[in-house]
Amino acid sequence: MDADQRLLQLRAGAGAGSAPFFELREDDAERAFHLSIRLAAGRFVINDMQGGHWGAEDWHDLPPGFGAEDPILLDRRGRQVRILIGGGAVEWMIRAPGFGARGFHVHTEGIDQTWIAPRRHAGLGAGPRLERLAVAGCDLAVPPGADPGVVLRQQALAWRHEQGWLDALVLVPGPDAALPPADPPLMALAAAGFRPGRRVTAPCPDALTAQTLNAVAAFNGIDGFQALPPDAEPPTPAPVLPARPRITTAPAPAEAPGLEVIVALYNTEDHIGDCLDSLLAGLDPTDTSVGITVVDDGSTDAGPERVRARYGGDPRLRIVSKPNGGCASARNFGRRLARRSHIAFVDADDLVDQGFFPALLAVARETGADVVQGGFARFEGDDPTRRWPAPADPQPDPVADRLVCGLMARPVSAGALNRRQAAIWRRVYRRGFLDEQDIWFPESATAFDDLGFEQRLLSALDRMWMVFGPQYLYRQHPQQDVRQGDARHFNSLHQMRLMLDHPGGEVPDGELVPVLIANAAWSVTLLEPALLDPFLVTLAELIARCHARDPARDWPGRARSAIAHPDFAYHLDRALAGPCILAPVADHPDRLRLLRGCESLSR
Amino acid sequence: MSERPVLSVVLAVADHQAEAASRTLASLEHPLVQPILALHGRQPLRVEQPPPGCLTLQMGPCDAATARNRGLGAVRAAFCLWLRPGETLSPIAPGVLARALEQGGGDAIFVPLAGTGSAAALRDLGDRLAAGGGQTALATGLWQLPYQGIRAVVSTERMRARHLHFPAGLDHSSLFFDRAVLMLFARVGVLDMPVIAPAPALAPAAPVNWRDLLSVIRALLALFPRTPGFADPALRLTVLASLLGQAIGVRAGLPPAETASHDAALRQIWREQDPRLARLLAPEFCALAPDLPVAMQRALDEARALLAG
Repeated sequence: MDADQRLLQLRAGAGAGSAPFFELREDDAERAFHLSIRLAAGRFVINDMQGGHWGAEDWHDLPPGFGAEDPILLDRRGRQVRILIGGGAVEWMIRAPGFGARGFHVHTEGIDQTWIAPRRHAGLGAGPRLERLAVAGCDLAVPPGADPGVVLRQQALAWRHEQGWLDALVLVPGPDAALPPADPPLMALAAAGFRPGRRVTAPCPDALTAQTLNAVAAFNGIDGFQALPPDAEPPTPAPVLPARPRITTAPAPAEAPGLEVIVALYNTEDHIGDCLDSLLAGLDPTDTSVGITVVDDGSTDAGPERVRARYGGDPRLRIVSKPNGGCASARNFGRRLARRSHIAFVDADDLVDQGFFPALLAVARETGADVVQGGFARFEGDDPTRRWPAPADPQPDPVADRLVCGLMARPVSAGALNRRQAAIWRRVYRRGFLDEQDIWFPESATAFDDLGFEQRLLSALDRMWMVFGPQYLYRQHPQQDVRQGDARHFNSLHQMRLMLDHPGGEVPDGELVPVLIANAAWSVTLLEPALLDPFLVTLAELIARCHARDPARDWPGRARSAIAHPDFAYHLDRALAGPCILAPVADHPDRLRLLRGCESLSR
Repeated sequence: MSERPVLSVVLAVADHQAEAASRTLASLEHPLVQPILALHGRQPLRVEQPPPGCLTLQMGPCDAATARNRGLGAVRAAFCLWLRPGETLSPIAPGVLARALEQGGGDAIFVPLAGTGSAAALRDLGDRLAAGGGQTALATGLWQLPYQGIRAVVSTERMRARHLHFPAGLDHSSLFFDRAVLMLFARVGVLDMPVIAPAPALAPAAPVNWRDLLSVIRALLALFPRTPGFADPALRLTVLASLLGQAIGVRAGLPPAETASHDAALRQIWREQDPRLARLLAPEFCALAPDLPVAMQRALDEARALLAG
């Protein structure tokens, strides 16, 4: 087994019953690799001997039914030895410090060994069960019974590593053009493999070659290839094969008047029933203008089953499931499915007063408003009667309010609304407006996704109608995202960065930065100590970027006043010293987890 | 070899990419492959006659990195790969990859894209590995190759354990993903067969978003000192040369007004680097990586002049 002969096929037949073995041996005391096959015990053992002392044994089970005539493939590359057996592989690293310096020889007892061929692909295992034709780096299997013949074998040998021609061929632009004929025909076959849907013809010197090539093409799943014997008529140009699967733009869905309430559901089994009951309360069962779509975002609890069991026959409600992707993805998914003119988004742990959404929809229809908002109140735990009002919400005004559909309501300026408390769930939106303004929930955020939606909405909107009457009830409980002190808080920084990076600045800094500062000040009070420093660094960089865009606004001064942590001023000073045009290193929970995960790598 | 999918292939499709993505999807019709489509266009997209086992994720409009991350989150096979719309997998690739992955295993295998000249380079690296070169030498060699010419097929388990992802909201996110594989994973292999054909270049390339490129480079440079490979001086110098080469390379195409901003940003990145990395820019350390390609040596020279100024 010299340097050029790395793949051996072993069989334990000759010495079956007496633990046949295979060794790479320098002398009797130095055996760098020892493989012993214990057929009776159903195992094989790997170890080595250094200075006359056997090392620890590495035991492995033989595959079930493994017999004396079954092959074991042994592949050595330098110090790495790989034992391929029954479809599995075991690796062994030769440990002897001076292995190979004095030379070594193969020593066997009870083993038949056969040299096979050097392998071509590092990392590839497996002995060649089928004959293979390698051309231009492609490895084509020859089907059983097909004879490649001398011509093809010679071509494969000559063009084994030649890639320039193939590279030129696969890079011919245009998805539908036929590839030019190639010489040798084996190269044409390799090229055809890279361009599904293209036609490749290959004139061949004899009928056997053409027959074999067509068989190889079929066996390897290569469409569009045709090898032609010498006397064949030139093929008539055939239409290019269309790709069978196709991705197309779906037609715009028909839109019916009404409201679709999207409920994003993820592991909220304790609350979803109360939520849906409150949404359905007071809805006329025969009225199809209001529908509820529950989007199960890959829940792992019994929530979806409970919904199906309890509301399965209700025509006003449907549940759809999707792989988990976060609340934003569930809301966007529901919006894609919606077929009504208006839409609302509800958290699965919240409640509404009876008639809340029908009231908002009625005002939206009456006024033609793009967005209509209701009041909201918080409640703690499970008792919605113990509620407290939202701070800084617009209050009823007997002078300004109007009676619309039996409710007191008035238009309010979007700029006058409190941007710090995203309240996307207590509104009815005209779907066309959201589409025209391209306002979606940011799916890169796995929490706090309503922050980005809210800022984009309020910047795109002059005013919305505020309705005074039934309320949205926002449940407070210990499991809320916003109450956790973990990496989810970085989602808010990430969204701020996305909005800052947006060409043209879709949300004016004057509206965005105060929200950034206010949210960050609140996050700093909640975050785990280990997350504080990266959070403050990232925040400082974002504030510095805002300062670079508009130095007159003194965002650094405002941030220093709001963020009490003493390290923030230090990080801000450092950030302000740079040009501040790059994205922060850890402005997303994923990056933070990756960086923190590396701490175990470098130990 | 089993006929269950051993490879999930993630394909993010945005507006105007449907036709190119259809060609890609056609190349993924194979029992060993699970296609995962992350449809993130503004217009709703749909899949007609999807291949068996194809998973379709309907998303709202977002960047490609976010869409690929969603696709990676849905991967079920033991290994995964991402493709761009228009790139195609060779029909013989699934079988070859399956053999390599099932029997070669490891954390990741780098494969070449046809037409990029990377296949021959990977063959050389494989031969060097076979001759006893270690994983660090392999990683050093891979860092010397243009990242656009190679692609990582990644162990799903390792990817999740290390929180490997595309940086959301940034262009050039694939630079981060494939280079982070080299930094994070201990057992990496190479395959010299060009199993992926690149997308035909039908449209002029979009202007390079150099701010995002520098942001990605910054993120990689922040990651590198935390990884075991940082301890190897030759690898350290190679990583430096590769990433600074990217940063310097984009400079040539910039309007003059932006060149100063670019240079200031690069100096900012440089100031925050671990001194053990930054000091390798000194000429006397060039001997640490004598095999550095000429282009990368030239990039180091240019970086030296720029960052010293």
